[in-house]
Amino acid sequence: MQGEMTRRSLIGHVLGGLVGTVGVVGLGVNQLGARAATGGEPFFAERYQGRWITGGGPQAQVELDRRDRGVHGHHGQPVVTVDGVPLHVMRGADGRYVTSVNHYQSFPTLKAAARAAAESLRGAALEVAA
Amino acid sequence: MIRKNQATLTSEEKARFVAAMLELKRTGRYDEFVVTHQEFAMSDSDVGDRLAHRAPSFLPWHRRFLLDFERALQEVDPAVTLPYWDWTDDRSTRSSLWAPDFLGGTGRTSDGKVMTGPFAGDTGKWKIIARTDSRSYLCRTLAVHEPALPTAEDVLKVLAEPRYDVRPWNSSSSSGLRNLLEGWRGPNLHNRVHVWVGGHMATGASPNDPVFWLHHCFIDLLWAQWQAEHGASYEPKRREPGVVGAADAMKPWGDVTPQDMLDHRAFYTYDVDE
Ligand SMILES: [Cu+2]
Repeated sequence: MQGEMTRRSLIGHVLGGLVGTVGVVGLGVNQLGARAATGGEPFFAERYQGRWITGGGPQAQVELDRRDRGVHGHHGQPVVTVDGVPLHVMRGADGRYVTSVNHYQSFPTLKAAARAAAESLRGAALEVAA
Repeated sequence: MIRKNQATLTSEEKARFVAAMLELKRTGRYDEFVVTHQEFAMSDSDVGDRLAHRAPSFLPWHRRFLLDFERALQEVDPAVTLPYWDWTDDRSTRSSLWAPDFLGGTGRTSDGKVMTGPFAGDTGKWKIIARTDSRSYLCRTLAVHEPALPTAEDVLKVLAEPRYDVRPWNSSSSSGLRNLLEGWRGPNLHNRVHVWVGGHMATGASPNDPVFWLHHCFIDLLWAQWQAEHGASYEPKRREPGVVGAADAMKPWGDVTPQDMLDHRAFYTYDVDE
């Protein structure tokens, strides 16, 4: 699946991952394209080790907040989800990322942080912090 | 009150430490500590307020955190003190630290679940409550995500730092004992050990693994050794954006300052203290 997906099926999966847990509806191809183009890290979505990981930012968070029905991120913060559940992620002073799952390591990109989380979870579901 | 190297504990000392841990877990006291750590882990930010991590107060904050925990253990059994894990010496996954009569071993490959020792999920006595994922049992992946623990040479390099901490007082501080000991720069000491243990130790809810206390006890000892050489200084002297000065109160206590924590001998000694 990685890299092999058509754009159409990719969008389908993005929506599949977001709808329900995050409550994002009505995101079209144009909006996703715009997201990737408007600063921060490009939006990504891929299947990795059996998990559906998405992320981008900080513009991706702004897009999510606009439709917010579940994600309580901070405005201007990057966002990552694993199987649709938001992962707590923080940007360090050096521009690298730390997550609540890998709290003592930093990663150069959101995608690397999401992949590391998927590996550490070993099949377990993320839980949204209270 | 003397804190000892875990490698020197008698089997009775190990058993009493384990029993006190299990009792704190049973009463719910233990999870209050995990929750506190997790809350700070989530909010400590390089660009915002930071106390427990990525900040000069990393060391005094954890010194007090450990002291509170040790006092809780002593309410159960007054003879118990926190042991430390010298990972420059006990570097193997086959160390007696991970034996079934002490902390138990690494987790199974499929999901990281610890299967041996008193903290294994199947004992029913160590349920993981404050957590980042759905696993309700203790997880470890020893030496999987990080092949080797820091060496004595790595430690010496860090203890040679002349300054306690430097601007900008966060994870990007390029020198200073605190950031090199925490591990965001230099040979990577504290952070690397969390990753080497893996499982819950790698998360913001790391105190779920009992080894958290033994690891941080050694970090505390290394701080004391640095102080013996370089003096009990703390920087910054006065509050700067996002971080506390030497005489400013730290959360969650409200009446504890970094300065109050500078001399560990006011509270306990280490078996290696002079
Ligand atoms: Cu730590």
